[in-house]
Amino acid sequence: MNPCDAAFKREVRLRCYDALEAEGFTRYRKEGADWPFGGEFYCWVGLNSGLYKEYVQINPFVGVHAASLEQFWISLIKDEYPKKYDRSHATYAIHLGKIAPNEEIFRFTRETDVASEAKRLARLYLEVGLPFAKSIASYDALIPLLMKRSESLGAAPEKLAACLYLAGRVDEARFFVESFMEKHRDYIAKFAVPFLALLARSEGVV
Amino acid sequence: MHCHRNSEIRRAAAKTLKGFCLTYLPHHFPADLSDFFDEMAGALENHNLKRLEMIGFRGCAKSTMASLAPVLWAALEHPDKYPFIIMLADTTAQATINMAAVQHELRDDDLILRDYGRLKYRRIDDPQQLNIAQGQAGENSTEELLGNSVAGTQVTFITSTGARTRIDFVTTIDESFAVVEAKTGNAQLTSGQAQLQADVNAGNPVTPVGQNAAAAGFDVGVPTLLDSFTINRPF
Repeated sequence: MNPCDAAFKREVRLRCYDALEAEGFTRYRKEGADWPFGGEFYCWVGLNSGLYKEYVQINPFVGVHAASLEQFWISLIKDEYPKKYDRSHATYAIHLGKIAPNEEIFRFTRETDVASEAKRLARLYLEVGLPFAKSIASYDALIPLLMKRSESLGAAPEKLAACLYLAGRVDEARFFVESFMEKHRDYIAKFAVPFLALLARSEGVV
Repeated sequence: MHCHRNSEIRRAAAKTLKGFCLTYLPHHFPADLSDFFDEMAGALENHNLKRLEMIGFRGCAKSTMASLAPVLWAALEHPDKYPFIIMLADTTAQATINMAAVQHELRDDDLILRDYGRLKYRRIDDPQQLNIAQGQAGENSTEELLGNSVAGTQVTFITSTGARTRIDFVTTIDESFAVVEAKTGNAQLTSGQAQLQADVNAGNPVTPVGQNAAAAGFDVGVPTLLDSFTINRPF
């Protein structure tokens, strides 16, 4: 039997996106699907893929993409970071196994019925992933989650600050950013300086 | 005050393995305890024990006592004595079930969470060996479960020196990210992986890049702190 290769991995991924689309997810690009909740929030889908000689493994991630929040924090650092807004980036995501621990893993060999397994994956997203995403599709729900992740950096602090700001909790946003500056100045300064300036401007201080 | 006192009473009861079982794991012992339960618990809580053979009738809680209760008791009551615990089973399916049961209690048991807090632990599986065992078991094998699989795979990072390196597995433990690199035989880390390990150990952020990193929920291009770097050597 031929070993699995990049072409097979791509074929598997495409079939997974086909299946998601068939279940009602929006195929916003060839290898990208989500579920708009209307307005700011989307159910975010991430198909992390491992290619091995014997199989391709799809590791499903689910979360939310908060469009305004992403655009907001990226707009503040655009002069410092080579970063653009991207719908395919999660605001917060977890591995689907955390909420569906008893589901079998998604491993595709050359002998796997790819369409059938892709459908199982899409159904899992629909039945388990989507309700989870909906449950955290608000600023108030995201704040504690991003707070827990903020010490790992990885844009979680910026998103948390943006989340607090957009939720109208401006004083908390300022306090968080100023406190974070004391611990991780090198990391957060690119965002913190324009963010705090924005707060000052909006309060008419400057 | 009342809750605090209850917690103290429960923790005092948990000093013995039997007390721990009856306090925190009663749902695993729905029937009356066997006549030799005390003897079994007493033997298993002996820290000097090297090997123990247990023979008992079906349903007398041998498996629960051998694969679940002592693991939780050792991890929660005696973490200093048992900084790591190796669980063994004779099939992949059994190993998966045993591990899932332990993780379920640590994550979801209200009393355990209340009295011990959320235990920070690192689970190290051996995917390569699991694959081999699964292949040998052929069509009769029980599939691995999603909740037991390592989260993301084949994620690329840029290290503090600018070296670009791909690691085998990435996972999250209590919202922190950890990486596991599998090496067999005498294989060593590549220079990029070694730099990544040095960065992780030094607390330096590294930058995830690429589609596979984004698909695992990383914000690509943004420096990220990884909590640990583990080399898994199955054989």
